[in-house]
Amino acid sequence: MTLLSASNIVKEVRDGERKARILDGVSLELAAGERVALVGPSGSGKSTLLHVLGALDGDYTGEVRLAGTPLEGLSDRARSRLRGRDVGFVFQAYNLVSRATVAENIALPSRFNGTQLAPEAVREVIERVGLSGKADRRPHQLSGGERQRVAIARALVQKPKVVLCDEPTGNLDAETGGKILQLFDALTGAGVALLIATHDRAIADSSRRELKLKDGKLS
Amino acid sequence: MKLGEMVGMAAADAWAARARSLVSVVGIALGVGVLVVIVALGLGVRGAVLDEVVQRMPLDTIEVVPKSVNLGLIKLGGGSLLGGRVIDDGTVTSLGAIADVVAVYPKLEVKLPLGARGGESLLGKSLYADLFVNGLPEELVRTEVGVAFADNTDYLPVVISSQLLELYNSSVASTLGTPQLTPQTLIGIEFDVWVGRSLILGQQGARTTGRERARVVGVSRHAVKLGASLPMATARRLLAKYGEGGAATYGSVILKARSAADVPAITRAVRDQGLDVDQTAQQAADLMSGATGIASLVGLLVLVLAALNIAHSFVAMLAERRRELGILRAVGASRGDLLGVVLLQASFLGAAGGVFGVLAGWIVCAIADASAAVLLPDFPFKPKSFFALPWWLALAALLAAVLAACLGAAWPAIRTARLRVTDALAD
Repeated sequence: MTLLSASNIVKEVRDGERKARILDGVSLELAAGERVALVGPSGSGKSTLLHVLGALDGDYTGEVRLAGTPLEGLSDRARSRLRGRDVGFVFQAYNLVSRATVAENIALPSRFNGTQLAPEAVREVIERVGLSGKADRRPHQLSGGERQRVAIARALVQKPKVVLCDEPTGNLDAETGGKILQLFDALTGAGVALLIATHDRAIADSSRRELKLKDGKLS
Repeated sequence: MKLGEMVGMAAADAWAARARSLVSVVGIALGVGVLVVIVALGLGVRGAVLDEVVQRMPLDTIEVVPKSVNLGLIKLGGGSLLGGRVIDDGTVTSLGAIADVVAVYPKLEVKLPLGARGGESLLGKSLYADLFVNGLPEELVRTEVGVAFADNTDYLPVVISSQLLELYNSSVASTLGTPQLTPQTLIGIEFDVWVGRSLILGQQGARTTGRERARVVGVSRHAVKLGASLPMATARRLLAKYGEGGAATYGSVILKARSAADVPAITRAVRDQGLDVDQTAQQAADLMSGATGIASLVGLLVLVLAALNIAHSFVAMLAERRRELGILRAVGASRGDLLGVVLLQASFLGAAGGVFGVLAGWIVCAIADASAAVLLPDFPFKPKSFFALPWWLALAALLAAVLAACLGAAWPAIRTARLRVTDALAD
């Protein structure tokens, strides 16, 4: 079952007097339980594509369907709700709220989509990412790998259909990266569609498919 | 996002930025405090002026007077010269015939030169003063004075104005070194009235002269301001005995309407008859309201400055939190959610500032009243309190505080809501 599809995505940004085309007719499909690696040199448009696919950036042409819902024409409220409910993001820079605890960061999406997240659910996902006993710590009290695991836990807690990862192991050592990879395996096993933008060969090699993005074009 | 979540997040954000929040709250409290003190002072003084000095009438009552020309400081009596009319018995009858007028109380002009001498038993010395009197319907004064205000052949029963008593107590008594008087100590005091001659009028208007004995029977808000009032029958008797004759004229006529809602129509009917309605109380109220309004601008200005401070504070705070707000958007916060959280946070600061401001204003009013009671000398109509702080003023001040805070935070909030997620996360 296709959970994420994009058709002929074009994204341009103004660069002084001229327009630069960041994404140039990108089309892709992602099925449930599939892990796909998105590779390409820096500046090729990987992050931009993830933002477009995850309903973070609506300034493009083309069509994106997320969990069966076309994103185009949705109100900000509907896009936000869809993003909070069906999409999990994992960023290279973690993007955790510094003044919130681990548990609060993980529960953050539930505050916006109206779902009542049981404390047990948060505890369970904390255990799942191997952060037991650190629920009350703040991000600055954690290592890089632990922070990334918090970000992954936050992406998982709502049981999203699609998880989009942007260089999730970019700041981690090989051992920690390996543990993160195991988490991803567990995710796809649960039917989540996973798209990972990465330079990490280990991730790319272990993915079912590899999409190469160069100069905004997919091959 | 549920309201409860929004409230929790806004409260947490306010607490997280507590130093900025405190400055914002103090600014709002200052503005609200100044506003409350000024408006409370305006209301207090307005009430004192209307109740004690002008002595406004109930809402269902108007006082009809001959037409006059108001030249600001000078009021020219008009009567027939200005196309109006003198109030005589015919006029009183026609006023009584106006629809929804349920009672008519004419005030008879006693155009006789009069002088009063006496007061030795009460004041320790005998005083003389020219006397101005009018005649009032007994039933108008009876609720204040009782049956003693009725014609009596043994003496002239007089009532004096409560304002005159206040003026005497607060200025004349201290100047002359005479004792303070109360309505109770005044009742029963007798004095001589010289009819037919006075220092100011000489013998103008009098056919003959004579002496009458007068007795104070009470104090009334309806009595002539600087003089004394007699029962209507007594006044007519005095005019018949000493006056030059001629038709009776009335200085004014009080009309009681069926209800306050009937007053505008009655006022129109009065004006159609070439007469006017005494608007001293209304003009005083307007004047006081205008002065209070102008003074309130100071408080509003402080409130505007507080709102600008909030705007500045929120711009800085939200700029610092730009990345965090981007994260919130990324995990599902809508523009409306962020807008709501920021405005709620501003509302909390405004409400806190409003509560502190109202409390501070109330304390300042209490201190000022206590100080005035001790430090200010007695003067006519000195009120017990210079301030009136009704519940609606506190509520309005609180709402103004919340509104000012929200207006201050509105632009930063809108800017935050428009934040591009990808830009914020790229910071």
